Amino acid sequence: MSVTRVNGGAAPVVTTGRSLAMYTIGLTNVHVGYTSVDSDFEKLVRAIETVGTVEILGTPSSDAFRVAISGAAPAATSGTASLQGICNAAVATTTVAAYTF
Amino acid sequence: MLLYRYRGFTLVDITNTNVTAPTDQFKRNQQRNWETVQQILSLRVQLIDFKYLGCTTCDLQKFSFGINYSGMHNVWNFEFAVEHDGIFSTDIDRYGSLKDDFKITPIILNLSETAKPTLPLFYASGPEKNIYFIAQKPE
Repeated sequence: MSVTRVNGGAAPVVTTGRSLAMYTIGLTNVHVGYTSVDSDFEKLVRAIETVGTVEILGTPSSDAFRVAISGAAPAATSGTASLQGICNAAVATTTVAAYTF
Repeated sequence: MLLYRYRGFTLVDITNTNVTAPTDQFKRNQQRNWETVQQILSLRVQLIDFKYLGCTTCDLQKFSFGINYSGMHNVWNFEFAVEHDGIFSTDIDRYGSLKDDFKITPIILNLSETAKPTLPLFYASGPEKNIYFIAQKPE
């Protein structure tokens, strides 16, 4: 946990937070019917939440969505304990790529 | 009337013992956890058909609890319905406000639970996640 004073403390705003890791999760047709009960999108979010806290969740579009995780986010693509392994166990073959910004 | 039904799963002992007198503290504490769930859910909705479905010992691989828990554990489940669609939604997360409400709510431990969190709290996400919800098809 870190505390950061915005603008060197000149601005009267203090934010707290943890490191964020952002990923792009790819799955064919994940954007189709994503609001349906127990859609692939929901299953993926539920699985991702087993490893970290989802802070930002992007709207699925064009076979992918973006997610920002805080806490103990695992490496994107290595082994079954990776984010990709966890996503694959929840639905089917996904692609997971770390997003740098 | 269309009902939107949800099912909840937790690793916390929320056995609905119906004990409200302090004669049997163990059963009273189980009931206290159950009442905690009921009160949190009631913050936003009028609960309909709030049902305790029981506890089973299961392999957690079939569930979506945090990765800190694995193997065979007691899992409690319950069900409830609401009248309004998307009542718990925040942005595109159907369960957003449910998670916010349950996050770090105190619970009573050392009951019949077999998977113990680091702290006596509900965790709605992360490696310690010990409660989650699934929406059922509207009926």
